[in-house]
Amino acid sequence: MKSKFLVGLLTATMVIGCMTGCGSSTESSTAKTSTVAEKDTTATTAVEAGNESTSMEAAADATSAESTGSNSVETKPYKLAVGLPDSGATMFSLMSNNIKTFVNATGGEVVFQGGVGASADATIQFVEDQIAAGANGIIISPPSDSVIPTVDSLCSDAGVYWGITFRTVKDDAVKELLNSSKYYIGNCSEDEYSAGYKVMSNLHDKGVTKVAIISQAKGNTTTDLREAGANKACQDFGMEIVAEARSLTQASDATSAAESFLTAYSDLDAIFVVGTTGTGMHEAIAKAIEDAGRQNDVKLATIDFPDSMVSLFESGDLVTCAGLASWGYDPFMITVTLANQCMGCPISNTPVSYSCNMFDINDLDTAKAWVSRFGNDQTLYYDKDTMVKTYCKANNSGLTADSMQKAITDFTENSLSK
Amino acid sequence: MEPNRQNTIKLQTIFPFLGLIAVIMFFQVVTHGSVFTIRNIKAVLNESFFILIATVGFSFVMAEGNLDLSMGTVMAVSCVCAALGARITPLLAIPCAVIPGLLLGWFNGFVHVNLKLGSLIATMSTQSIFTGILILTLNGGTISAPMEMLRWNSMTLKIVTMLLITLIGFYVYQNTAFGKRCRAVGACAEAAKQTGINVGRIKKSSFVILGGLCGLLGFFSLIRTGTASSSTGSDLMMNVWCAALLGGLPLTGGFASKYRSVIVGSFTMAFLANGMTLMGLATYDKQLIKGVVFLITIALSFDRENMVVIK
Repeated sequence: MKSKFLVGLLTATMVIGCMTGCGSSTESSTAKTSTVAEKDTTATTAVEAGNESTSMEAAADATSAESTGSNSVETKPYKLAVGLPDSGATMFSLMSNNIKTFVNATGGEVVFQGGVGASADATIQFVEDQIAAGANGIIISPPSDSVIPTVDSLCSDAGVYWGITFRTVKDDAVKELLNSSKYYIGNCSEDEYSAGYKVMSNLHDKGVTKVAIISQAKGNTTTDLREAGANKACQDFGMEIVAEARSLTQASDATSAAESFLTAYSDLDAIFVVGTTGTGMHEAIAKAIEDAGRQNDVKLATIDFPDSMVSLFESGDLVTCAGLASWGYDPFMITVTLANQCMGCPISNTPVSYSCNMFDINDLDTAKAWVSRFGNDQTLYYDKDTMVKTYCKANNSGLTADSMQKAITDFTENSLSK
Repeated sequence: MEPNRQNTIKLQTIFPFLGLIAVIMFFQVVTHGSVFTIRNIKAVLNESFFILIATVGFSFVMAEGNLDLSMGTVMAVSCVCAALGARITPLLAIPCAVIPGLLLGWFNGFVHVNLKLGSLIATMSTQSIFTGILILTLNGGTISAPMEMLRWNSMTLKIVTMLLITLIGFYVYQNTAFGKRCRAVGACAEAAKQTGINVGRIKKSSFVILGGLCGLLGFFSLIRTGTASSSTGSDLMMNVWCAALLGGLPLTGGFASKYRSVIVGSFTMAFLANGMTLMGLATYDKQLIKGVVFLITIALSFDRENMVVIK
């Protein structure tokens, strides 16, 4: 009886499976989406690079003028998968809001997933899952170079475009592989080395000599470069990294690490958060310093502006930090490149490599100015109209890898000027 | 009362199958038939590969009423050894992965049997030891595999390996004296001992089997990701535990442990994870749903009458 029941159920499953499979819509593979550059009517704040119209925007206007009077453009619908979280901290929400705005305005859809860059297993699983889920483009932040060949192989086999955010590729063999890849569209990263050097240099100016660092596992190209910059500063200024803790993901781990540093090194001058994927880490470290009664002699420094930056400057715990104009701008620009590729209008025929400049904040006023501009997760880097007109190759033939790089540089330089 | 009890047992037996069918049907409908596409079946096989093979090994340990917390770390250590061996010659990666797995599995068994520690405490301790070895070996970093090894990561190899391991596991579990003795130990270790079974050796052997399979997975992880790091296999233990329990393997072990649970549970987990991805659910939603499904399944299928204590 049990067997018969099971056979019946399995048969029903197969029948329903076949019926739903046959009945599924195939519109998505053939439909064209009309992308219309709407005037932005949302109540969001748009932050544009520069006060004057850029050359790229002028080119976009010219392209629009050449068209039939309407800026309606036919592009392929597409689906992107971004291996970053879309919530948890303001920087994640800000990034995801901007990406969603651009992707939705250009006829695409996007999904986000956190924890992807935490391990090689998670990265590969994410890529496999998203290919199966029908993604046309994938963005990852790989934990090491060694995972990249498999990602490229999976994406190439499936005909899925992909790009890298926040990371540079150091391995020469992997670089060579990527240069010959048909589906790798490029990366966007920061000058990590200079950021590491700059923060240590700022600490030196404040009389710091002995530093403990909190960083990611060795092999993570981002923190490896930041640490290389920090080590160079140590050589130049006679400073010393006396202790380190790696791969911390929870605020409680940061507390334990800070407590260990403070107990083991009575002459410690600073704790430098070189890189972390956790949230609430800086507050936890500051609390540990305060609890140990060492607030006057142990300072906190970090790369990537934390949500609590203003309060940490106010309390005197944080003395220097370096970061991007906006953390989410880097994945946003690689998304723009990937989306254009998926729409059938590639920005470049070879992999791009964008570089975002970091800048440092050393005082409360600058921190407040930055937070007023980017501390709101509803802020848009560009209004929706500009996104569609300027950053959609179908609407702007002047959009190239060089013009994208110029836009990135302008955005950083003007981010605090308004 | 007897007929009711029989009905309950029947429900517990059939529930894992119902769970698997329900999961497949649900996702097939809500994703408009995306589950049974070639691309997605490949993704499900990839998802289930690691879970299924580890669960095959874990079924012997669970049949004895034991648990293992260290399997992910054993896989990571094996992966690192494989990466180091591959630097000499790529072919050396296979023995360099499996042999450490066997040795670490034996060590788990030794700590459990010879030091007379519960399997939970024993493997909790060894997991910590193995993690320490791992971090010291890696010096906080990662080791990469030679790029030519990545070409070995083919679906054919995975399917053949999965079939072989599953069939061999089935044969050993169902048809050999060893398989029956594992379940006899789980049913009542003292009674098994009185009938002349070397309980200690049987327990050690099952840990060695699990260790060896985790070692093999370490090799497959290396050719899949090209990377050996301290985070390798970090999800394995939870996935395998969930698969075993979703499939209906009782925590108490014994003759109620059926091999079919291994297959049913592994594929339920794989389809569940895959289906949620197809639906475009966020990470946190997935965790929540996994937890709820797990809780409901265990609450409905758990054999409370035979549960004395988690060993």
